[in-house]
Amino acid sequence: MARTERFRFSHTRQIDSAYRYVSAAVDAGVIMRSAESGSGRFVSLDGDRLLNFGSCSYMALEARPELRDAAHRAIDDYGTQFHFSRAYVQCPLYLELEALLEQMTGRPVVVAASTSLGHMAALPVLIRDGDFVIIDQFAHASLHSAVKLIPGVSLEILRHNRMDQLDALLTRLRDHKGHVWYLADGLYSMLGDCAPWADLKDLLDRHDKLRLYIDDAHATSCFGKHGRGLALEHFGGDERVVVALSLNKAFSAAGGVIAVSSREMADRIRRCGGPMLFSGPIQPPMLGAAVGSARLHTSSEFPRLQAELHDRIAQCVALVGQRDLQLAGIQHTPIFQTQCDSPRVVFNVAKLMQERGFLCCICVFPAVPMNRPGIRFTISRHNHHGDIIAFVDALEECLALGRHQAILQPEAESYATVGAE
Amino acid sequence: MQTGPTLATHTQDLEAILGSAQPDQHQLDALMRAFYEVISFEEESAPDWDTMASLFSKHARITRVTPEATDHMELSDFKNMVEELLEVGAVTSFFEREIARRTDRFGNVIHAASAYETRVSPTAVDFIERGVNSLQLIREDGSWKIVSLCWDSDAPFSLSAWQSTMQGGGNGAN
Repeated sequence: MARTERFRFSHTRQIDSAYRYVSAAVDAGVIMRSAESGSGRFVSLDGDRLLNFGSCSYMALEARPELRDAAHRAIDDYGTQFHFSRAYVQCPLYLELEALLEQMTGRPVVVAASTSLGHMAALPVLIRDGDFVIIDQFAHASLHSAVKLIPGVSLEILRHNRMDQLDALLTRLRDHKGHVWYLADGLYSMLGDCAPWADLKDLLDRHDKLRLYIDDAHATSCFGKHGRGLALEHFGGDERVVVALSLNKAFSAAGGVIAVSSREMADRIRRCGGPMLFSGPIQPPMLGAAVGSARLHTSSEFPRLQAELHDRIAQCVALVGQRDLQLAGIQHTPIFQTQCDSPRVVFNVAKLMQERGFLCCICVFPAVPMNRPGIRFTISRHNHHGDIIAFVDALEECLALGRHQAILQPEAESYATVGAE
Repeated sequence: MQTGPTLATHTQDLEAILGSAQPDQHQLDALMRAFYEVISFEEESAPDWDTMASLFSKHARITRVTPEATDHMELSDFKNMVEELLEVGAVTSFFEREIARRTDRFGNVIHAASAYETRVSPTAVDFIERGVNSLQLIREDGSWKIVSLCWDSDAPFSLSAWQSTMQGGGNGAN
């Protein structure tokens, strides 16, 4: 697993090749687009009013009065900006938000301006000299970026969800003097699959040096008591597990949360985690929205809202199970990915779906491996049951048509010019 | 790693086939088939490095041209590059096959321009990319070995246009 010799693409080359791949998708008109209106059940693009199957607002809370009214009140009380560094003076809404989030998670928390900044603040504080870090290859890019900030850290990248390899590494590191951190996502944003919770529990039981740091951004709100996510639902009482949640996405506000096991650990991150000292705060309107959302999460109404989402997910799972959609894997999550034969097919399908009145997302390299191009779609409370039936019908048809179109598409003709010279 | 009966049988035969001083179409086909088989691999696997090494001269160079840079590699560098791509998840499986070829022989040197296509799986209906692997083979220690492999990963390529320019030495892939 560990290699002594490594081939490294230079930083500039990685940027340049990423630019080339992303530009191909931009040029195909399937990413980095600007909506004309709407972000709920419908979204308007290119003059088309599309049913929205690309949203991360799985719980569809963004237009609820609890959040809107709280945001309005925050503007009335504090304006659009609370103009201090949080290292000096913070908006009082932070205290209210942290108290609600501690009720929601059952843990001491640190609130950051985003989940990515939360990783950047927490990981260099949590991971100490002599610790070893193992990270899932498909863990969110923000985790990969944050761990690179730790000078001299011993790092190993694990094949996705390969618990047998993690077990072997932990066994090899049994006599390692420090902790062994495993960094992973709770719910993977592209494939829609989850961390293998039962296997991780088994590894925690057998390897006392193991520590987990789980980015549960996409599971926040959708899963668990008060929407605390999948990781805290499985390991809420285990002090060896640190969990990052998102206040964006299904939470429908802004910011990130690091749920830790002790007040002392929370204080260390708050007092010496880089972005906690030098990065800007969440501004009052979104702090207000976050407070409103957190109140809703801890209310008696929230389980009913979660049940409505899971009812739609179950409907979609049942429908896609009856069709030939080449899904990457079916788990009970709001994220689905159908695998396509090539980026050409992906772009064709996305455009065909738009023609039929649906918005779904593409996933191609570098968001996914080169050999796993696909269509990513999400289920939210915005989607009506009839919308989901129509979407799955259209997707099956467009996948077949998109494949057929790709076969008929002409090849690049540039060679003819070169060959004639 | 494709270690099924077809490849195993094939690679056992390969040494005897390539040991002949007079390469015929069958010998070249066997070498090219083995080349594409060893660089292809299923999920959770990797290229068949040992068999790949047996196809290459110990002096072989591998050159990959991309829009950003050109990689000048020995076989060990190429292995490290693929392992890096696997580790970071840039690829999780790889399937490449030959779709056309033109060859020229000059004594103990063969040049093969081998058109390839990559697919997400052997059964995929569309390809991800097409291009040309430029290979040079030499006689070494009584066998034909690849001494140079070079390709441009981003060159525009039309199979039909390329085939229309084939004359004489061109031959279709198997």
